[in-house]
Amino acid sequence: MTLPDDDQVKAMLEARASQGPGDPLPEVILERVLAAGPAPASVPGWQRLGLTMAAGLIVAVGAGLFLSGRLAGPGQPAHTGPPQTSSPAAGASSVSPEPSRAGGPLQCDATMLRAEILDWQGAAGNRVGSIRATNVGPSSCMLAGMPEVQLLDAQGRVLIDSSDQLRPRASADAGDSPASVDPGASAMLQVDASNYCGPAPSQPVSVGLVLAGNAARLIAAPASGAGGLDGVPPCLGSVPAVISSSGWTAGH
Amino acid sequence: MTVMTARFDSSLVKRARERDPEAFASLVRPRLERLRRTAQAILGHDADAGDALQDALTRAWQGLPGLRDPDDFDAWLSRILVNACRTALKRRSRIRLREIDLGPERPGGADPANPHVGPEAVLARLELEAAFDRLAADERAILVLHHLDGRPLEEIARILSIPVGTAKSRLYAARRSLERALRSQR
Repeated sequence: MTLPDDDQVKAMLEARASQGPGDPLPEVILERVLAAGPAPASVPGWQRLGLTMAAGLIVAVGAGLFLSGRLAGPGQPAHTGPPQTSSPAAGASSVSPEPSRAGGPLQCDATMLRAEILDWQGAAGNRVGSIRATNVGPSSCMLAGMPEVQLLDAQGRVLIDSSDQLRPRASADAGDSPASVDPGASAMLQVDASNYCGPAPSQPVSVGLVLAGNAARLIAAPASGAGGLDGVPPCLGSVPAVISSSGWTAGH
Repeated sequence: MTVMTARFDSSLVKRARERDPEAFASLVRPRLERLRRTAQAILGHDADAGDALQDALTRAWQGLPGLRDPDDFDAWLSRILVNACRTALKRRSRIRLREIDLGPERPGGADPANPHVGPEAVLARLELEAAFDRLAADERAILVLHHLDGRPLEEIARILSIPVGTAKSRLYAARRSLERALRSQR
């Protein structure tokens, strides 16, 4: 069988969408939602953001003062530098994961994961890659939120960094929840990068993932059989370079 | 959507934001079937699709005061639905991964709903659907928004809160993932 064309994909989705509706019917669902009534008078999101940031700032300052006194110890300055990262050759750093909540799985640490780039292709002026992170540890761990992503040259120098970009992040929506990865199982991530206008980098490039919550960097190397990485995205003009990722999903 | 409809919707959104349930129902009712079909296509399971639809409508009704631009209602509601589907898929993946077996018990006859479609075509569609079930939530969503809903890239970008160029590349990547999933199950 040949690979599907657009019409075949559309026909499959039409057939899939035509199943149902189940019980209850959508109209009944709407009636239920309205019958439940609105939430208590709420503060609009953009106002709530301001309040949340103010509260967060107070907590962060308090926690910072507490930790700087607690961690530095007598005669030792508190660490104020950038997050610790590993070299590309090392593959993963050894920063400890955050403790779990309520006895659940630990957050995944870079030492628990092996990351591979399954493909890295040019598309519409972008470079698009699929990254698979496999849990090589002995126990399940959680991957939460979107990691920051970096495009790296062969020496591990950062060419494009998502943390430099001021933009809305889709995964900040309430629908994003942690994914649990069992030992031997994997999670997938899509990365796309565009508009690299810097000097020609040393090849091959790789992708760094700064995991949410533990500031450890995991380097994704090309998987065997994935072929060589197809370089950096072309320069499209004066707009800034962009790299972004999707959230984690179950691997396949 | 015509200009008149957009103005009408904008007025309804303003009333719904002030907690008028009839205005909210008038806004949502014409979109219900499309929302249901989108959820059904992403999730492939009618009970899950119903749950995602209810979750999305609840969030929309409760979160409507936070919608700043009434003209963004359609994209905003679709974004909430896609997020509800994403949550439903993650919840399901934590319970167990669904596998579709196309082995010895594969259907041998034509599709009863479309008797003119031969068994090979039915099998090809089922294989394609099994491959689609192996995709990530974001990949499923962008394929459904594009191929089923027929939304242009600009609209998809607004729904997913990403630049148009990123939507284009993600659509391309999702097609490649679908092809890869299809090849891997043969």
